[in-house]
Amino acid sequence: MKIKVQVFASLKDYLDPQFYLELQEGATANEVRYRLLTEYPMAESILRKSKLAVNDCFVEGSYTLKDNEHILIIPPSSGG
Amino acid sequence: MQLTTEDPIDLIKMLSEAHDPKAGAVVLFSGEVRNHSHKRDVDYLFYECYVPMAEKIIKEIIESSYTKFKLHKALCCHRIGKVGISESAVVVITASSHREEAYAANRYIIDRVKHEAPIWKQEFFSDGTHEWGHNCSCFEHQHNH
Repeated sequence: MKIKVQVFASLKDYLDPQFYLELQEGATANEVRYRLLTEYPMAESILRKSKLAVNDCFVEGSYTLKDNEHILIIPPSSGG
Repeated sequence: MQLTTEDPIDLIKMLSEAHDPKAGAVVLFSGEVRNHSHKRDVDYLFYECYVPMAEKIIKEIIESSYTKFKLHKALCCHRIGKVGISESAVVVITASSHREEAYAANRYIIDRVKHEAPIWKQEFFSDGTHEWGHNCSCFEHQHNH
């Protein structure tokens, strides 16, 4: 299945802002994180601290993704 | 009420919206851009924001402040994009019958917005370099949310 990935802020120093990943059916949100950790080891510290969101809602790593869903990798906030 | 904006925040207009006949205390917090950070001269900040989630989260925080504190009004607005020195990056206004609640609620809102809304600060220094602001990681620190 195909999943759209979007990253923000300091993660864009290492990854494209938006891209697609091919994953096996039943893949979880955490599997996206693990794939990115493998492919972008330079971004490891930020990826590990980032939260995950689908459909603009935070999800746990165990969330099961569906085909064509849009996952957001959200680094720790630094607003204010 | 605007929750995020690319334009300068109009403090007077926001304050005028916070008045309430039942309120004896109105507290305004303005988080402003310093000209220095970690002993380096800062020219300006740039805030990146994922607006759909940021606005939803700020709205939820404001709504929860009404249930947690005895508030008559609560307003919050965060800037997006380039913000100059001494400009307001974020403003929180709380109005309650007495000052204790207004101060406490204001602190509650700004602390949660800073740590939970998907907004990221990039510092642009006078020497031409820039770097992402020091993040608050709620995985590493415990805040009094």
